[in-house]
Formats: sequence, structure tokens, C-alpha cells
Amino acid sequence: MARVKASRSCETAELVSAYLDGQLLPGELDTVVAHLGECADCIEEFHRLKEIRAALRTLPFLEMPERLLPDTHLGEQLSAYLDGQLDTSEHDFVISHLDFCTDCRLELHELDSARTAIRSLPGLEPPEFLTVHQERIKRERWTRRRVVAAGVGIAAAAAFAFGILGPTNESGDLDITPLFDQHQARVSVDAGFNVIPAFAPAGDSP
Amino acid sequence: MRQTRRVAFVASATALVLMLSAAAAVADDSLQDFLDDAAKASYAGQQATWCSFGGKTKFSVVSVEYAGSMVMLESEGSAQVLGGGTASTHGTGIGVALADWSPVDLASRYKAAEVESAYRLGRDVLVVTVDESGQMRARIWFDRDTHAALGSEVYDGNEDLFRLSWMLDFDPNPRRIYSVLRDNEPVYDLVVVSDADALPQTVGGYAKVDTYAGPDDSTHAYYSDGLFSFSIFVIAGEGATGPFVDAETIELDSGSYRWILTPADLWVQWSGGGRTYVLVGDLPPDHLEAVLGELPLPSRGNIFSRLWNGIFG
Repeated sequence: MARVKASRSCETAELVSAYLDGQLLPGELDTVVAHLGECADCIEEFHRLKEIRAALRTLPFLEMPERLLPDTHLGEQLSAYLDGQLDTSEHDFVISHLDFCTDCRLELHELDSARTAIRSLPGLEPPEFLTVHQERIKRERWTRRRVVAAGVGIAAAAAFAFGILGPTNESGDLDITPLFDQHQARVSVDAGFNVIPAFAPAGDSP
Repeated sequence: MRQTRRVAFVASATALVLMLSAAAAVADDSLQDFLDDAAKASYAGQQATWCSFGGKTKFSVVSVEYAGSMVMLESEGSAQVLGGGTASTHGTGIGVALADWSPVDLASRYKAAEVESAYRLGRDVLVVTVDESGQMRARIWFDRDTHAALGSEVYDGNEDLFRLSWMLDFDPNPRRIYSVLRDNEPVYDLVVVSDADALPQTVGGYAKVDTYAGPDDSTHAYYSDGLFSFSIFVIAGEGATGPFVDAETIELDSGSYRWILTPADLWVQWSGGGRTYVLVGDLPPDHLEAVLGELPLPSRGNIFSRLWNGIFG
């Protein structure tokens, strides 16, 4: 509570308010008590301040709307929201806040853009021991391939013969959904992304 | 008196030429800005799309929500979430994520020839007419306030309408995408960059921007000119597969191709040199023909298979 100057004539009067607020320094209490015993103005002020404090305590407690409170933006909750780390109540709060708060919506977009930018950073080179390990795997694979090659050669010869004697074999086993997804993922990072391309839902892909 | 008039006329003409030149320069410089700004816009609504090719047309209406670099598409209970190099279908728990990508510049062949003010969906818009070598290639309606593209028209080489896309309604405040982004946490299959070099660096004015490892040991090359783009998947082995078995066929100078039309994209498939190629993209038909002419050509089959087809169809 703010200190109220109790009396224009008493230098000690200001301590009265501090006394009521429990903010006196050691040694000041004795000064105030002694002063109250001899200064009628300060006693009157003392009672007046007590009445004001009592009246304030009886006022109903009102909650100020969130949007009117200073600095009530979502802050770090936005990052947690994008990471899916909010519980249900927190999530609902964030969603309702985003409904009316343009600043937070903007910040959410910026956060999301930053995540995208980070994703585009070049990857790290694998450590040396991993490279050596990969070389060994490659050598082993090469050895296996040479063994398999002979069998594959025979199979290829048979397939070639079949190819000559018959038409091209057409089958229906190509699933183009993964192709479509990969294409759309790449298109999504181009500037013309939401301008010229008119997206078709997954169900509209052939 | 006559000389004064002549001086005034010359001054006016010079001023007019300067103004027109300045306007053209502003338009050219701003096309990339229009596209960049539109790509970052946030809005929601119903998007109608119509496309025509080879005597066929396709039409769809999709609910879209754009929020920054992310977009959600909903239709018939299915929701796709795209953006930031990822694509996933909501609820499936599976998606793809690109490990890396390269920037794309707008090709110099495109010019913003004209920028006009208009009024659409109750909003002030700028209509940008995009020219390519003196021909109208596209018109795009940009919302002045949000920079969103409210509509676009793409024309073929004869300036006939190839594709049209329009927002049927417009809400500058997307709402659902945030919760879907939160709930949609798929496991992403990471798509890594490939050093495969099977396809040309440029085809038909499009530059090969990135090459990736594709699904099922295929190779994925992505081409773009900054306005249109397409992907080519190179798959080992020859022969039409999947939905292309029953697809339409088109004969071009470069050979025979199977194709499928969707409201948003053209799919083209052909085989040659022991490989099957699948192209998907939003490029207009005349661009497509130029591109196909510079890619590996379709094989005509061996003499026996042609004989077989000749006899038995």
C-alpha cells in the first residue's frame, strides 16, 4: 500500500502509514509508538488510515479480463504449443487466446517460420568412426553383391529372353501416394506455394 | 505561341514515357515480392479449382487454411497438412519431411505486365497480369490487406484457360489449423538429398533445383521456374504401373505418354532405357510439351513387342 503523508506538520507522520503496512525498519517502531502517544493529528490520521484499509478489504474481488492485463501474451507457451507439449487445459487456453490476440498469432507464425529455417540448415558431417563403419559395410555389401551377381545374371538373361518373346509387362503395383506427398512437401517451401498451385486433397490424386 | 505548344507537347510525351517505363519497372520488380508476400499470408476459406487438359476437365472445392508457411486442406473428411518441407495426412500418423532444399528464383521470362486495382469478395485486390514472352501466362488476384492470393488463372500457349483457382469465401483469421498442427504429430519419413544425376540440369526453361531419394528406391528430381514446378520420379524397370495402366495416352513429337489430370496437377508417365518416369506438376501444357521433349524419350519397345502389339493390340 502506498504511504500516505499523515500530517503536514509531523516529520514522523509518514512512518504511521509504514507502521500500518508493517514496513517499519528496526528502531522505528519505538519512535512511532512514542509519537502516537503525544500527537493528536497523527492519532487521527492513524485511525483514518485504518478505516480506509478496512474499507478496501470489504470490496469484492474482481478478475480483470485477460486481454486487459498487461503482458499476458502466450510467450513460451507458443513454442510448447507448436511442440505439442501442452496439456488439455493449457491447449484450450492457448487456442482461445489466439482467437483474439493478433500479436500472439503473428508470433506463432514467426516461431513456425524460424523452425522451418532451422530445418533448412545443412546437416552435420558424420563422425569419423561412423564413416569407417560405413566403409566396412560397403565392402561387405560389395562382396555379397558379387556372389549374388552371378545368379542375377542368369535371371536377367531369362528376363531378357522373355522380353524379346513377349510384350512389355505392365503391372498395377505402383503406389503414387508417396510420390504425391513428397512432391507436395517440396512444393510447400517454394514462394509460389499458395499462389499458383491449387491443391487437391489426397482423395483427388489419381 | 506555336513553339510553346510544341515544347509543352514534347514535355508531356516525355513525362508519359517516363511514367510508363517506371510503372513497368515497378511491376517487374514486384512480381517476386507479390509471390513472396502471398506465400506468408494467413487466411482461410473454401478454394475452388478447375483444370482442363486433353479434352478433360476436373473440378474440386477444398477447405483451406493458410497460416504462415503452413497450409491445411480438408475435403470429405480428409485433412492434409503441408508446409516447411513436410506433408502429412491428419490422423494417419505418417508423413514425409525433406531434410534440405534449395531456394528458387523467379525465371526472367515472367513479367508483371499489368497491375490493376479491383474488388473481389468484398476486399480491395490488386490484379497482376503475368506475361511470358509477350503472351499472357497468368492472372493473380492479391488481397491488398493480407497479400493473400484470392484467385489465379493460368493460360496455355494459345492463351486459353488451363487452370483456375478461386477462394469462394475469405476469412483473414485461420482458426482450426493451429489445433490440427498441435494434434497432428506424425512420424516423418525423412527424405534425404541424393547425388544421383540421371536427369538434365535444365529442361524447357525449368531448372533442376533439388534431387532426393524417392520412395521405393526411386530418384526424385524437382524442377521449378519460380512460378510453376514439377517433380520427376525415376523408377527402375519399364512399364505402366498403378493408375497409369488405364490412363489416357497422348502422342507428342517426342513419343507416347500416359497422363492423368487432377484439379491441381498433371501426372505423366512413360518408360525408356530400362526406367519408368513419373512426372507430376502444375506446369501448363505447352511448358509440359517442351519439358518432355528435353527429357529421356519414351522407348518404342523392341521389334517383337511392337509386332506383338501390332497383331494383338
